[in-house]
Amino acid sequence: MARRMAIMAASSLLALMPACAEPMAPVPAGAYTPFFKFIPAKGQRATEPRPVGIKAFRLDRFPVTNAQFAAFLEKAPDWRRGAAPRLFVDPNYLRRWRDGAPPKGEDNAPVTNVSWFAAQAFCESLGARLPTTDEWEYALADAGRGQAQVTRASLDWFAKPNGARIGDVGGAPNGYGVSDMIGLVWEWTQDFSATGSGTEQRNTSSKDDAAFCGGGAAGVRDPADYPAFMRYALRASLKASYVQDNLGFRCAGDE
Amino acid sequence: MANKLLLALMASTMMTTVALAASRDENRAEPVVGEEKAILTDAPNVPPAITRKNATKVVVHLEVKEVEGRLADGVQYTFWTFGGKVPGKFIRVREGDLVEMHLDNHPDNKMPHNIDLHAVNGQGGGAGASLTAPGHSSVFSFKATNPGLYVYHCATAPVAMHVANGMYGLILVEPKEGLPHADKEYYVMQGDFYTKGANGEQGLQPFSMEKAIAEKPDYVVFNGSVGSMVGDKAITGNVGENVRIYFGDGGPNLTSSFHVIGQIFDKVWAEGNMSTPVSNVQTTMVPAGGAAIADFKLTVPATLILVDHSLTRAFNKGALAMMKSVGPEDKLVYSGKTDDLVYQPEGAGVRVADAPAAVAPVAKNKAERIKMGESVYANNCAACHQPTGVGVPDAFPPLAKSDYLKNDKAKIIKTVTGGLSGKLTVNGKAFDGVMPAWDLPDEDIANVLTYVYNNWGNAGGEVTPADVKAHRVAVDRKAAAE
Repeated sequence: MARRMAIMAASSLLALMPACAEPMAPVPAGAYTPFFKFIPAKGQRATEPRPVGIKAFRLDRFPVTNAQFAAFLEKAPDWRRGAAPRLFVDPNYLRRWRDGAPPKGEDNAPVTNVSWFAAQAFCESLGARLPTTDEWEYALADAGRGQAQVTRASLDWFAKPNGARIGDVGGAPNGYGVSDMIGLVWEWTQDFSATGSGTEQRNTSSKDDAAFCGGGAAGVRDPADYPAFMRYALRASLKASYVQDNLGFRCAGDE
Repeated sequence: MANKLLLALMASTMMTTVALAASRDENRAEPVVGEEKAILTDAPNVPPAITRKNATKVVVHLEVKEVEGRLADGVQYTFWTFGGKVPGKFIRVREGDLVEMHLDNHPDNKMPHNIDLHAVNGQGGGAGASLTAPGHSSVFSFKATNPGLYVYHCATAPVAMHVANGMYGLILVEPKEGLPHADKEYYVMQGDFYTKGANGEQGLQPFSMEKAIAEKPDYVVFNGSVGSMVGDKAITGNVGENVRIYFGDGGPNLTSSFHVIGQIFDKVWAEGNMSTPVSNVQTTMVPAGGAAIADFKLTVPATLILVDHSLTRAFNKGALAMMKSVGPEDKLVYSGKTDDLVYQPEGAGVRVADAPAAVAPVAKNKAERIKMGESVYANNCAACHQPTGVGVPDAFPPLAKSDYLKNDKAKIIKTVTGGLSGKLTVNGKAFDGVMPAWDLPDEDIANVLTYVYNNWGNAGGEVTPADVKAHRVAVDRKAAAE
């Protein structure tokens, strides 16, 4: 507990500093119930979502910023707009960047319009990786703290008109010391396509896809958690080369 | 004349029977000749009738845009739309057509979207082929095998929220022989909205998940906002014209008791089916995710009011639109008010003699006047001007902080006792309605005006029964005297 307090105090101080200076937040091991049923093991029947164990891991406190991504491109020119292979990035990759630099004044905003491949390459360059969907959702669930606020912040973000400049990172940390999971950008996960990979989101022929089924919300942990549906639907709509104006990422590491 | 009508009716019935016979299989097999780009329209407009005698390939581009717009006066909302507006673009194709659907998700958008057209037989009505990330486009095609008027909507989870944000529209699969001629065609679609703040709370309102799940909307509106078709934006028609309304209910939750005040539907194709129209309908029930076609001939001049006849939705939540019928009167069809008489029930005189005449209470001072005026207001005025005097945008002028009340007392007394109709500007907003003359005792008029003057940011002051007596418009009681 003292440790957590220390982390929270430290991170609120650090929020004033450039995000790149900060170590990842340690997220302790625990049990977590996925939003919806994953593919059942052979011979098992698909039933209600069951808790799964999450190993301790580390997670970036903030989404990766434009400044951090620009520094990466210095070292990895192969990933610049124009140089990155079309197989790995769609034509809108870094579409608002000019001459290898992000839009003026947006150094501390999350980098967006990056593909899964580019995000993964960034994390690998730092000896890290993308978080799994379970890890990301487990960090957001924050051991049950402040979930009403997560829902409210999500709905407020959905209502915010699009096209405006994305805000800078530096929001209030949750109980694990992780900030800005909601309200700035969507985030890539390592296995974004592992769940609901079918494009038909209401396919009732398979219970596993039922999370996306308008008629069959029965298999989900909480059918009243609309923001969770949105996160999984967004992930399901993506392919690894896709980029999006409001899709960024953060890195994770093993503890 | 009557015979001619009968023949026409029989002919149209026969034609619809033929349409029924054109089976789904025949429509599937009908050769597709040529290609064209669909004409798409925003409500209340409808694309022109199809005159083609063959099936063709129709290319439809629907662009999904998440846009901030007006839900009510001073209330903004981030709508998710098929084409930039709520409801989505009206799509019109012919039975047998091959429809190539392009769903383009604008790169500015946050959300993935897809489309489920109720006119499609296939996985998810097309949703299975169209989940589209922002900045991407999906393509699929379908054969329009079943004629009818169908709803389309986004079906991405959580479906209810996508629909609650405005993602619905109509597609008409027109029968081969076409629909009977209509002089004017309009597109009206109902939807329920759920906002974080209560009805009328100003500013950008986010979606309320709790109210949506409880099915308690703050707004129920036609064509995406309160007052989308009232005043200068009312839809119009001329006496003698046949008018057709393509009415859809996007929901997500409420069904609609669609009714036009002051007009009987001559014909309704219930649930959008093309084979069996019913005649002489007052109110047609339209399910959420359903549609109906209503035809009627305008016979007299009037301002017709389109409502969901679940009436608090119309009066308090926005489900109200206007259609202005313009042209010559027909006093035989509708006379207007011909008499205003005193009504004396039989035996009333005896009872008066038996019982002491009830003496109406009289206010002794201004404070009492205000207090007694409150109940006069609640009984007579609040239904239109609203309990807090805010009025209803585009329909009933506000009494709160009202610049109209700055006119002198005499004019205000004349307004209430003589009624008011026609164009009027209050607090910078235009109105064009009717307030009847209020035939209330001097005391009541004095009390209610004093109540209004001393509430809701108005200037204060007092109106006495003597003021009212001096300035009131005399009610024509000649008929009563005879």
